[in-house]
Amino acid sequence: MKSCKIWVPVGALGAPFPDESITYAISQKVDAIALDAGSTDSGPYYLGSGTSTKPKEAIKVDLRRLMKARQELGVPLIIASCGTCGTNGMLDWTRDMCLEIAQEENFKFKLALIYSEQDKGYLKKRLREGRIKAMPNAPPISEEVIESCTHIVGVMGTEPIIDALENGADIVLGGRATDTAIIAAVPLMKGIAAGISWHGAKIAECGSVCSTGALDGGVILHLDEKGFEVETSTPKGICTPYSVAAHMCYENASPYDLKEPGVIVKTKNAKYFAVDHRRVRVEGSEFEKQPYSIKLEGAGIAGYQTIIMAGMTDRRYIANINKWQTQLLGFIDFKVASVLKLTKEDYSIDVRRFGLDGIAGSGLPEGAPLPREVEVMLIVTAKTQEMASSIVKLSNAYVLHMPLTFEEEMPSFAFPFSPAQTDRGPVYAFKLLHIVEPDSYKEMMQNVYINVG
Amino acid sequence: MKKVTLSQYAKYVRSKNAGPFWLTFEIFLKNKEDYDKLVAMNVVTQELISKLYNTPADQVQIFLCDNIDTIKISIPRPVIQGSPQDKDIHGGQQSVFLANAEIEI
Repeated sequence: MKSCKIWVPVGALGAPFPDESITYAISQKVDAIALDAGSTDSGPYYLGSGTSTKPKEAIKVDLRRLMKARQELGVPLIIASCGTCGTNGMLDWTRDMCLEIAQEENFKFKLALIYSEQDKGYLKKRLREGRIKAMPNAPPISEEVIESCTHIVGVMGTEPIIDALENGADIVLGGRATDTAIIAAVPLMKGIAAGISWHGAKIAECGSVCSTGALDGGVILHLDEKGFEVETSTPKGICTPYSVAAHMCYENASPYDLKEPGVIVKTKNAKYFAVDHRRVRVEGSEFEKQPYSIKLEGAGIAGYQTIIMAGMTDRRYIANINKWQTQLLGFIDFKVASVLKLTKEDYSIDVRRFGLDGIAGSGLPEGAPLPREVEVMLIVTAKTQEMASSIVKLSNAYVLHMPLTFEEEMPSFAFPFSPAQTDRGPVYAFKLLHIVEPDSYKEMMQNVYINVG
Repeated sequence: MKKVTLSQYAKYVRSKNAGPFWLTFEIFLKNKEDYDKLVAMNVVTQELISKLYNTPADQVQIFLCDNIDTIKISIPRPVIQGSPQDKDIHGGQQSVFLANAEIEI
């Protein structure tokens, strides 16, 4: 009977997982270690700027622990979506850490790198051919939109990872991948059915989030011809049929259908049952083949920001904050037009009132008591950093002293910082929610091999 | 009959991004009985979500997850994640409007 065991040490490389999890995974003789190191969930900045949410030190510490575990087990270590965004630069950033560790630990292995950043010329050609398609709620696409992105990555499926493993790679570092493809690659290679491999991978992709203790670290998937079992890799952690089934909802638009390159995973008919008090078995996972496609992620600069904050505690001001805000913005717009000669085409101002409705944005619910204090934040987004910075400097005195009426004492609000303003640099926007229909994934992903040590 | 909020009635009301362009919610009920009751009341509708989140009703997807006593809702993100107007990058606090919606039991 075909079977295989995959260890997913943690939901994302750089997040904490305990040593006992490593010991347990080694004792279980897992067939591969697989996890992602990225996501779009922290917003467009990381892809737009080609940077990581986590510091190098955090990644290197855990990469070393996993490389040591791999060395002991003698099985593949697969990490993709390297450096949060999966750009070529961040894949190289991760590669360099891996090579440093290899030298420091005297490890020998075959390393595969899978690059998944996209050439704009290639994408424009595919767009002209009608082979780039919008997904639901996608923004408009054009050659100009493609050109305006600072980075575009293709989100790989299992194919380039399986290619790398068939070429003898011991460690696979990838650009952007679907979280599930990283985990499903080895089971699919070993002949486990697609429905079971992908469904198991989805359950495991956030590590122990599918258990009753989301912060415990990782999970081990045991896959076979009829289904899969999942347990946490910390021996005390517990998976229940409920905690596992509920994970299908997590960060998914549909709780039952999971779109992956070339396949839709169908979990509506799956059954979840307890094997013992900490392990769950899942059977009945299905799949449907789809035309092969690869999703794009692209981000580009949306402007430059400067922010300023001021706190207020006066109840009369808090009660009349809408009037105060309108007055404030009126003065700022007038000053910006007359002194800086800028128009509303050049900038926008967004106001957040923390403590009042800084998150909800819709005022206080009827009858709700006034908050004791409110922190007002002005966010200026402009075409250049200099512009944004000048607009806020010009606004400084108004933000600090704007009275509610002009017959009263001039108030002074609480600035928490000196300087009062903070330049935030470029801000980015996600610009693509589209798929490409390539002849082969090889058009979009390139495998490179290094014999290390 | 008395009025309660969905957060009082349910075990947990959650929201999160489903990618940068979609927002997804779950109403996890305490047990099968509460779940069946809420489904039968037919109050969690496209119209309710449309009103709460200012999004077209026909774009609201509602899933009844019998196996986990959960109602799941997905909508196009009212503001694309991380754009200058976005107040909640991970979408984790957007559940508040749904959680505060009142039902009669």
